[in-house]
Amino acid sequence: MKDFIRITAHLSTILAAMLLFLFLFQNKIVLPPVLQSVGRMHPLLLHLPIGTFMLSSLFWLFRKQLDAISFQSIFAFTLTISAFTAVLTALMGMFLSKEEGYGGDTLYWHRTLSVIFAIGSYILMLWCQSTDVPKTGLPVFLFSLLFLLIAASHQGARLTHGDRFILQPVQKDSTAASSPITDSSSLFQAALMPLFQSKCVTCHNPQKAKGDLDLTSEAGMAKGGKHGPVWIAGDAQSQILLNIDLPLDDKKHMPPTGKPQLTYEEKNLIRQWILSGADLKKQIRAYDPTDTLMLLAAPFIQRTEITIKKYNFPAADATLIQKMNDPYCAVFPLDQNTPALQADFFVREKYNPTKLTELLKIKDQLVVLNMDNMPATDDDIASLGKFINLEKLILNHSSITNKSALVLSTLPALTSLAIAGTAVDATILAQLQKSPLLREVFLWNTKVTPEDLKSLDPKVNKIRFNLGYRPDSTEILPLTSPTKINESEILTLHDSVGLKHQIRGVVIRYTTDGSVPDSATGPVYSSPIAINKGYTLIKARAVKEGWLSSPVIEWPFFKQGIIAQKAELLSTPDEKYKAKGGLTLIDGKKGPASNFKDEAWIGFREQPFSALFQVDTFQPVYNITMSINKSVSSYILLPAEVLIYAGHSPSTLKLLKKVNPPALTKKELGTVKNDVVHIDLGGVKYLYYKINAKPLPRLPSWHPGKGERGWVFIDEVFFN
Amino acid sequence: MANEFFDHRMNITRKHFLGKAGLALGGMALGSLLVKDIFNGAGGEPSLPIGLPHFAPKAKRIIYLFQNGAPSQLELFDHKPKLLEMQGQDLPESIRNGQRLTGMTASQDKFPLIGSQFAFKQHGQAGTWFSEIIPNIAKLADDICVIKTMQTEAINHDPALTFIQTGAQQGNRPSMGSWLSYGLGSENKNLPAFCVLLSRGKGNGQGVYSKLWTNGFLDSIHQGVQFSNSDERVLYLNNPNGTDKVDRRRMLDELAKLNNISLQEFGDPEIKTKIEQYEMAYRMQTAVPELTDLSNESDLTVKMYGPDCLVPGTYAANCLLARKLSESGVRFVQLYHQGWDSHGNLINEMRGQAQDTDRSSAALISDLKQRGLLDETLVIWGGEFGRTNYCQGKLDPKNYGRDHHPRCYSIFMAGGGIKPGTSYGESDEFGYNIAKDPVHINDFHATVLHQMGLRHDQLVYKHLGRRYRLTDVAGEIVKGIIA
Repeated sequence: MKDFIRITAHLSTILAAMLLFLFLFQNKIVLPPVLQSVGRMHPLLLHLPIGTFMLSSLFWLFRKQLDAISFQSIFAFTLTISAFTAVLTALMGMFLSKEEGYGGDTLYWHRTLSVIFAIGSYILMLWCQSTDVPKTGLPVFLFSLLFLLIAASHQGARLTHGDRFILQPVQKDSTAASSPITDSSSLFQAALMPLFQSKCVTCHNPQKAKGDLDLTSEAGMAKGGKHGPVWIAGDAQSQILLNIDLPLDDKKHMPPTGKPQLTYEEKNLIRQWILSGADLKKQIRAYDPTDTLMLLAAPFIQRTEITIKKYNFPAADATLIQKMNDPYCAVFPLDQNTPALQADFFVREKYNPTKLTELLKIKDQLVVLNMDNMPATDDDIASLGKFINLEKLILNHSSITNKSALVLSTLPALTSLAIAGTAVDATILAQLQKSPLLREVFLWNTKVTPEDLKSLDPKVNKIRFNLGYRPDSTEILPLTSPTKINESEILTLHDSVGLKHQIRGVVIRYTTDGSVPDSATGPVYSSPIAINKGYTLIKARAVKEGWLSSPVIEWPFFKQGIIAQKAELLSTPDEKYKAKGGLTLIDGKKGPASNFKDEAWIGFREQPFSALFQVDTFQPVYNITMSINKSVSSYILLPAEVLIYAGHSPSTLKLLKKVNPPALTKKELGTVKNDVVHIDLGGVKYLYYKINAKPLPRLPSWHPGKGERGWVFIDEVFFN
Repeated sequence: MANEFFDHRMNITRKHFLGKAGLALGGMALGSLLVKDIFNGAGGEPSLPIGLPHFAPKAKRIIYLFQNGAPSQLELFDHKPKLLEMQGQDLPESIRNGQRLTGMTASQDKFPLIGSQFAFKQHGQAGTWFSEIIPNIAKLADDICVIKTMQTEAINHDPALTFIQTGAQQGNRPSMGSWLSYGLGSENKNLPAFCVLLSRGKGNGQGVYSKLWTNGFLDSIHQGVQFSNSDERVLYLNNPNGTDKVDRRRMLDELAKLNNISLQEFGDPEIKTKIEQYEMAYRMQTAVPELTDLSNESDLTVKMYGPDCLVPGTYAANCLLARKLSESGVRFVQLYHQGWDSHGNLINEMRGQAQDTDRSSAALISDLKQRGLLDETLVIWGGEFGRTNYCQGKLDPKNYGRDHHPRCYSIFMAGGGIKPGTSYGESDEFGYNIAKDPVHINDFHATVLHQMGLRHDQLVYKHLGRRYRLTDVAGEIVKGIIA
């Protein structure tokens, strides 16, 4: 061991001398490639002197627990190792620092401190070898060196890993937070800078500054490096472009082999940015989205997510929140990770003003309060001022008045206030303008007018007052038609017809004679209309000031006078539309005009309709009404001819009347409605009536199915 | 003696053991700090939703104005002057590129291009194009975001509807509204979280059916509740004849007592759910009539939505009701308006459909806005796919039709943290393929969930040995439309 120490000590002497020499003449050194390789072994060795020197210091602290001889030899041994590795490492570091790309203050301090430490540890080694017992003064020297070692190593670590390497994972990224990327950020900061950050600055930073280049800031870039400016606007021969386009194995290729490389897209982006003027300031929004540069840059622009608001107040007790919830007031956090709460009131009928007092328990946490459509009064909301973090308040259609202005305007955190449909007027505006943070107020359906807003002092008007929909007085809309109250169009003896309209203040005008009701002079509906005839067509329209009168609507009404006891089909209806046979005609069920496939309709085409009815007694029959579907474009029309036969037995029927319903006109092509064929008989008395109805044999030439046979669909036949 | 010795050794070893074990345990405990969720049994799987958003939501509620039957994007939003220029010429094969067609036009030997016969105009600060038949929606240009590059996989109504509503074409999955009810629960405990309103226009219609608002494999409380257009808006909610409110209350109280006995005996949480559902139905008896009674609406509201809004069963009435439901905390209100399937007679049919929907759709958005609710309510307007740029059948500019086109179509959204006053994506100059920024149905779903504060890949339900999501295995959030 002694030999080993002696030889190592000798070697150390040689190296220490060499180190001192090189340190003094460092600016003049020209390194042969062999030494360059030796230099690159600096990181391989550098932790050895650190470790052994610290070990030596520890042995010193525990020297009393070892016998003197053992301590002496162990102490000398570790010191020797550390001195030898220290000078060797420092020497290698000197070589390495000569390579391209190192410079700056950090290097200066690392080099200086390291050399002093290496020489110091060498001296310490000599000191301890020459005497057997540690001297006074030795501990001071030992621990000063230890301190020096830590300082030198720290500088070295900064050089390799950069500042904040260790704390970075726990520290907030201050640079990202300070400049969110939005459309008003410069394209350079949004797309180019992140590239440099991820691919270049590990070497080109103020500490390391390889090639005297600092790419961490716009100032550093403008300054350029050893080879001059990084780029020249519009110049395809700019330095950076030359470097990044060199083949990967070229020494000057950037980023160097082994480091993360620029992708094809990234290189294109840098080139295009330089070629199009290397503008550092131009905002993203100033670019045409179809601009080549913008197209290349778009994938790289990471717009900052809208920063999620952080609430610093403590969370309320979860069981308390649970307890406050009831079906008519929901209290819940805005999301899973926030102490901020929202409270919503529901069901006007169940509104309970004491709930607001209960909410005071969470007055610090309540951020949104929704009392939409609750009959809250000024007194109820007088306590709202205590909700110091309330940001959004909805009081639409509540019973509040101008009296609440003060409370509302002094809510310290309020930014959005909705009081649409309340009794407030323009006097509330000035008070609201005093609110510190209020940004938007919703005033639809209040007494506030656009003129009121214009008269506000423009200098303090930082609030957006939203007046919402205001009807355009030139736009006059047509009313909807009235509706009938009766569900069925078939009336029994004492039924009358009721009409209604959903809009308040509407006047309904109607006729029962088939004429169009006049919107100004037609009879006004006030009470249900009595119907006496077997068949009545009611036409009605709605009229109101400020509106166009509605389109005329019409309903046929049938009085069920004599109910036929039996009905029997004498001809065969179409296979698809045979419904329930003869019964269908007297079951009191009307089919919808729009759906001839309904079970209430019987359809005939190939054979004419023919049916036999048996009526109750020898009551006089004044008329017969056939209810018939008219869907012109579906070929469903009135029959061409109707024949009525009557008699006291089915075998003694004779022809009573022949009717030709009005002919089809071209105007009716789109018509879909319930129509009738009404036959007056003048009070005849028979037991049996037979009705024959012949479909139109040929559709007219203007109809899409010209020349084809028409259909007849019947749902009911009424006798009166 | 030997025994004592043995005991002593045992003591030492026990001390040793405990000491060492303590240290080792401490080490393990320290190590376990680095393994998240090691002790909560979840094993890194997304846990069941707790009824709160994963992160701060932009939108709290959704109103989906579904235009059933697929409105033509070329007559509403996607302005393609090139089609007018080349009207009557064949769709170039380089554009269609052999992509499949429906059985209705696949046998056509010519595909004559047809441009919109309605005039287009730019509106709003961004100069978004709108057709003349939707003037009221056009007035909202600065409030809405038109997505011109929606893309679906299905080419026929049923699978396409099922896909956009449930995220799958086959129809056994939960609907969007059900997923949201499952993820976020009900805000208002007096109403269902998912309500469905139906209306029918005069145009060629396509069916809607309850599988579109199904809860699928989720609990049935997440099913959409269909409001009927009759006087009784929610079926079976009213007390039967002869039962008054007091009787009903007494009946429910007695029933709850019996159910509570069962609950104590068996501890089945389903029993508790049942009791709660009965109570909710009881509360709905108060809450629903308050909402569905439109007779107290002001003249101003009637004028805004148009007078149709007081006629039950119309689209306008449903828009008004949708606003009232949403305002009362219903998480998802789904409207369907039938009649957009314009295979022929397109000009008349679309005019009619636009007349039905334009004023009231726009009114709904403005109404939410003027009440301060638009920022937290997401309104979606659109159909299941688009329509072809060529004419179905023989070309007649006065009476033409368009077939189904799933590759590129338009919808619009408003509120709920969607970027207002923009249009997103571009179709090619024929309006056939997507030129820029496609939005697949899965992406659309991911974005909608994102706006509601939910991570689409975390909202899962395990069923038949597999984890299901609304977005299945895909879905990218469309950042470009988020404000």
